Order: sequence, then C-alpha cells, then structure tokens
Amino acid sequence: MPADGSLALVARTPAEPLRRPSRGAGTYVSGFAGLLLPIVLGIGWELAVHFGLANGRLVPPPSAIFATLYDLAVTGELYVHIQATLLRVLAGFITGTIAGTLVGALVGYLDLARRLLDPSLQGLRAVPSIAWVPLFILWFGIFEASKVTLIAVGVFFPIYLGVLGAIQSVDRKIVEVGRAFRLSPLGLVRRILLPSILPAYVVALRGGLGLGWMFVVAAEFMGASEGLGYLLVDGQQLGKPQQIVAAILTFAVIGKITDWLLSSLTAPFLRWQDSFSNTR
Amino acid sequence: MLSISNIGKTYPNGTVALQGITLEIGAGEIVAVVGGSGCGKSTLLRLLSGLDHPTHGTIDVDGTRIVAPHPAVGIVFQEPRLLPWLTVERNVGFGLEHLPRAERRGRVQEVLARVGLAEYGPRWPRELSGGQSQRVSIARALVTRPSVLLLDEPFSALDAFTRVELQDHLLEIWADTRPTLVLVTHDIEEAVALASRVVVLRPFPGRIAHVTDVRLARPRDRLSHAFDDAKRAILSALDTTLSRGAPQHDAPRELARA
Repeated sequence: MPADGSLALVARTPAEPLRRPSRGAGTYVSGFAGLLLPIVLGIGWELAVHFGLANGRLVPPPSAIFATLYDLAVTGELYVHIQATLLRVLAGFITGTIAGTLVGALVGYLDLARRLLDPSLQGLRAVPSIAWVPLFILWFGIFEASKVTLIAVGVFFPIYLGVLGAIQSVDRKIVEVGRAFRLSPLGLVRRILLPSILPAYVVALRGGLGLGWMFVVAAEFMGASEGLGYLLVDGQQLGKPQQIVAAILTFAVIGKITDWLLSSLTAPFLRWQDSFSNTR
Repeated sequence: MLSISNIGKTYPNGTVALQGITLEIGAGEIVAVVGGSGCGKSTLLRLLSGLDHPTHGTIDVDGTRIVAPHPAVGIVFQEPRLLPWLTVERNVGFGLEHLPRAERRGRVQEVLARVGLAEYGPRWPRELSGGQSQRVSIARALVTRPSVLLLDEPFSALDAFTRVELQDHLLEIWADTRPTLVLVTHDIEEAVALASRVVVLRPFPGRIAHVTDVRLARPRDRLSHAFDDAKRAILSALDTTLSRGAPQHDAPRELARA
C-alpha cells in the first residue's frame, strides 16, 4: 500500500520540527517520499514488460538497465567513462569559474569595466553555446581542449552574472559601516564585499556546475571515444536504449553528488543566513 | 571638544542641504539635533562622522580636523547595520581587528556586558530583537572608546517601551566615560530626556534656527512639569521653523489641485 505509506510519512513531519535540529529527520522523510514515484513507475513498467503488456524494446524495463549498468561496472568500463566525463566537467568548471569570478568582480566593481565589457559579454551570452562547437573544433582540435573550452564557456556565464549581480546588490549601508571603521579598499573587499556576495556566489556556482554537466554532453557528442556522452551516442548508434538510460541515470547520480558536495562544502560559510531554510 | 565652524553642504544637483552651521560642543556634552524632515540633520551627522565632506567650513575633534572617518568618532546608525555573517561578539569587535585576540575578547565582553547582552556573544544577528540589535550596534560603536559618539535617530524604529529603556540605558553608558554625544532625532521627548542642549534646525536650506539649553537635573522625570515645559519650549521653536519654512504654501496648493 504505497499510498498509505506516503500518508504516514507525511503525517509524521509536522510533529518533527519541535525538536530543534529537525533537519536531518525532515530530509530523511521527504527523501523517501521523493523516491516513491520513480519506484512505483519502475515496478509498474517492469511488471508490464514481464507480463507481456508492453515489449520494452525501446523503453527498457529497470531490470535491463541495471543489468547493463552492472555489466559496465564489472568490466570497469563504467569507471573509465565516468572518470573521463568527470575530469572534463572539473577542468571546464574550474576554468569557467575562475574566469567568471574575475571578470564578474571586475565588471561589478569598476564602472568603467562595466561600460566597456558588459555589453559585449551580454551579447555573447545570447549566443547558444553549442553554436561555438564548430569554431572550437577548428581552433582547438577534436580532443580535450575544445571540449573543456565549451564546458568552460557554459560555466562562465551563470557565474559571471551571479558575481556581477551580487556585487551590484551589496547593501550600501553595510559598506558604509566598513568605511566608518576606516577599512582599506582591500579590507573592504575582504571583510564586507566577499562575505556579502557569498550566498549569491554559491547559487551561481551551483548553476554553473549544472550547466557544466549540460555542456559536457554536448562536448562529448562532438566526437569522443570515452565518457558518459559517448555511451549515449554509442547506445543510439547500436540501438541499445538500456545503455542510454544507464548513462542518463549515471549522469543524474553523479550530477546530484557533485551538487551536494558543492552545497555541503559551502554550507558552513552560510550558517549565518536568515533565510527560509534556516528557520525551519 | 567638537568644533563645527561655518559648514555648508551643497549636493551635486544643487540642493543646499546645510548652510552656515557653527556650533561648539564641549567634551561630555549631550547635544540633540531636532528638525522637520529635510532640514539636513542627518546630513550634518554624516559630515561630523567624516563619511561625507562639507562643501565649505571645517570640523575639528580635539584639535584634529575631520576629513574622513576618524577613530575618535563613533557612529550609530538609524538601523543596527550589523554584519549578518558575523556573530554578535565579532560584530562588536569589528573595529578592533588590529588588537591582539585576548585584548579584543576582553573589550568586547566588557562592552557587551555594559549594554546588557553579556550572554549574547555567540549568537547570530538574525536571532536578536530590534532593541537587542540596536544595543549591539551601540556596543560596536563604543568598543573603540570614541570621544565623540554620533547617533542618527538610533531609536526611531523601536517601539515606545524599548525606546525609553534604551534611552535610559544610553544615559547610564554615557555616565560611565562621558563621551560627547550628538544625537539626531525627531522625537522631542527623546531630545529633552537626554540632551543638555537642543539644536533646532530649519529647512531650505538647513541652518540653525534655535539653540535651547535643557537645565533639568538628571535623572530626569518625564512626568514632571519642568520636563513638559522644556518640551513645549522646543516644540514652539520647531513650530516657528516649520511655519516660516519655504514649502509652507505647498500643502494648500496640493489640496487645491486634488
């Protein structure tokens, strides 16, 4: 009775917040609630295929997907692909983050830089990043450099915009406190500006990482011999939908893990936030 | 000793916010600056703090010319303006970064105890009430031991009970080390309760209309007749500035248009 189970789980939550660090228990419960739909759908489809109600050739049942994942894992092939993709995302994310942060800070801080650079950057932002692919291949070749560049471009824009917006919305009144205490320009940046843009910066980083994962697929579509994107293309060409879904699942899991890592690494710096999530 | 000598402030758009302000404030004196809105009282305080520069005229604190924020001058803003990413004790110690840690700790604890928040050091600003936040902000200004403390309508956002409580509290703190206090307010009762002198400003352009000495013994009884008389005296001085102010005709014209 999954419906009854979900009701019971939901009903327990309101009582829970009475204990102060209710967050652990709360996420635990809602985590389970979130798993319910995919599990029910998966079991339903599995049974449908099992009893011959559907043939499952184009939409493989979970058992076929997990069998594929298992095969890829035991041969060690899966790790090779994961590693290749992960390294590309990492390299592109780091490059894009550094560039986006520096340019965003410069443009946000200096009025002249904003007038000179921002219009061009906003123009470039309007270009769908995939459109760069042919050019990057011409410039950087078919191998890693063009892929990492594409990912870096994808990561750059959300981070640039995030940093720029965060700097521009720093509270003038708080900056004035720093001035009243005679902070040097560097002290003002370190003790006032950086901490106040941090929450928006973390959001920008997470958005950037998400786009990094998006662009790694595009990058691996343009010709790769390994990587999760290669598994997708390979699955399509060889007519193996279970391999495609297996790769998609791996993307979901690894993307989620990296996002979780990023947000839990930054969480200690944001404990002070007076936000909705902290009041619960 | 705070000497303000013939200062004026004209904003780039041509607005004359202040004109010909001259005032001598003795060490340990409490001066309240009152006036209608737009009379430049907050501008005056910003000039005294060094956050803004007068167009002409000079400001000296104990013989030092004020051209930028100065360690001898502390400021408490209308809003607490605590840094939300620092705990209460680190907010209070914000201006003591140059001191060794132990000394900083000691001074922060001392001043937090002074404002009645000794236990609140490890808290976050978001956990404080409005009155507590403003106390922390006063503590932050006091911890550097300024000889002049400027307060820009510091209690105006608080409810009436908390306001009176904090006013009394400010007087206790003042009695300790007797810094010079310059308090901008629009609350005449607050001015009479705290100040030894009340400066009434007149708008368009902002200039001194009237200076009244408040000769009431401390602690002051807010319910006494003498207190009422002092309030009335300032109120009538304020009234003359309002009725003779330039925009006096604005209101009827506005009504006529509506």
